[in-house]
Amino acid sequence: MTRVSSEKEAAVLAQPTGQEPDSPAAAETEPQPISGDSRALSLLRDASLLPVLVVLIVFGALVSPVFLQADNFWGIGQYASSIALITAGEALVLMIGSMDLSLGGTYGFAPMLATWLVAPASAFGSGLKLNAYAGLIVLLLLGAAVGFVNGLLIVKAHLSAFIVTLGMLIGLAGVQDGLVDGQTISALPTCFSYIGGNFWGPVPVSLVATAVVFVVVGLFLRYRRAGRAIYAVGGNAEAARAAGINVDRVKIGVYMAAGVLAAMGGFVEMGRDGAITASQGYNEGVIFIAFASAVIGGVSLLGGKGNMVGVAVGVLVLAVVQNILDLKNVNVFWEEAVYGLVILIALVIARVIGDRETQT
Amino acid sequence: MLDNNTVAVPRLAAKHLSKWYGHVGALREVSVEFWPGLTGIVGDNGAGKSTLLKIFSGFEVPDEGEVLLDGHPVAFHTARAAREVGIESLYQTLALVNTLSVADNVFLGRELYRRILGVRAVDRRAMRKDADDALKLLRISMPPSRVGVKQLSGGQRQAVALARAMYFGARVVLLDEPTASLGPRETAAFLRIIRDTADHGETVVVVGHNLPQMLELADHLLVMRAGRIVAAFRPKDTSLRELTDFMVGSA
Repeated sequence: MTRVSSEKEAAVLAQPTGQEPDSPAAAETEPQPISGDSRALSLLRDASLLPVLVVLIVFGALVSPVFLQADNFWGIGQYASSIALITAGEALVLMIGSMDLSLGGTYGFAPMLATWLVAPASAFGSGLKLNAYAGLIVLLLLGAAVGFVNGLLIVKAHLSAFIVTLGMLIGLAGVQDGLVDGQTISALPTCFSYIGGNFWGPVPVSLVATAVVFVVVGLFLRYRRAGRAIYAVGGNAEAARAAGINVDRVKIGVYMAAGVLAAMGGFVEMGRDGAITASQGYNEGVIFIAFASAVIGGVSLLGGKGNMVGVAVGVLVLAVVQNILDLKNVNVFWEEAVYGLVILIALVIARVIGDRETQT
Repeated sequence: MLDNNTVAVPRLAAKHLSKWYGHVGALREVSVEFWPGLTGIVGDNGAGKSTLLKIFSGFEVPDEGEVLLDGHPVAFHTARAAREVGIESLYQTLALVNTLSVADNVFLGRELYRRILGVRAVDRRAMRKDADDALKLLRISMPPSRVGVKQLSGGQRQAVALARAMYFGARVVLLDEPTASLGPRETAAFLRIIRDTADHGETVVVVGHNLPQMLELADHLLVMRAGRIVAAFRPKDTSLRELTDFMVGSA
């Protein structure tokens, strides 16, 4: 297919056709003025919750003298890293207009399986003594495999994403529990706890790793054909199909990528804890935090909208709230209630700001 | 158009096309030729207009007969395949992705690239510029192409789809009731655009209900009834009355 020479076309179309001047369309030929076009502005629009984050930081500084200390910020970064990774996965699935509850299961089961394969039987492991790096590969492959199965069931068998991934979530959590009889494996190989638990100077390694992942995913979404296709599939699957995009392949690929991101998140969380518990993931309800963070960060549940800058801000907003609650020693029995209320308020603000921004 | 040494060949043609839905013959042995310019197809509901257009655009496969593009038989089973040989169809529901920008929509599935540090990356700037240029040719009031399609009016959306077809050098542009959802002012603007496109030497086929509009717009008019083409006119040689008679079968 050849591109039309625009000079030639311009010349042809510039010839008066007679009906031109008095046609009603003539009044419409003036191009509309172009308003501010800086890249910085569009990035800011992506992160419409930045003001909320600023307000939270000011509030945190007022209520706790510890809040503004650098170590506290690095701590927030370390805490937020694992959540950010699983949220990135959930955001991708939301962008294609679907949902994946099973990421919460993968977040616990993938690191559990890897550690169980590596750890000795005396520490609730399998006793298979798999090489730790091979365990790492198992962890990533498991994330991809769970996503692949989800994708097949949803895309090819046309089953409901909600039910498929709910079943998968509960099933994975059950196997995670069953493998270790509800116990915790704390005998982690060094390479398992390095990213989640170590610091480079004051900087948590997990934060650096997560930032790298976010930049890669963000660039992928923005500059690769497959990344653009994710938005198209979520925005209008029929139009995407007519444009030659393999919609089924894009969807299954996204479920797989999300599974891998959730497995990575669980891996980082395990390293931060220095142990893998039977309750990591499903029993902690991490999937709800991931959903809330993604939506607060501007990812549409209807698909086709969202980006990694927004997701990062969404994760940080909730992480800062969590941090303030921890610093203020809010009664643990009431902590969840406050957290839920904050999520609702943040969602409302995100909606109000987001809508106003997109209309400009 | 006509070269002395070659026999003229219609841009798009159909030979003995038939399409059945159960016992209902939606198309019966339809043979037709489309030349550069604007051909309007009119007919009552169920006359077979849309079925004919759907076959040309790859959404339906005929039970019998063949489609020829520039004299060569072509067969396709998807809109994608039809588009690849240069037949673009503008369907309102299928055309655009609301959540993407105008530029992203123009280049959806056919993105422009550049290399950043050796990695192939979508060249968003070039896409925006080319989309702006392509839309400028249509001389319709449009916001810059980085704006989301969601913010466009119905007529502007149609213009985006048409600009996409023109940019990629479509051989034939098919439109099904293109102004059905547009207001009067937008209808006038969009009709001017497709008239311009036809004057520019494109082969444009428009299916429509609005007979006065079609009489004014088209270079050739085809009347369909009960799966057949029952009449072909130049607009100046016919009248509203005559068209209606052919449509309902009283002629």
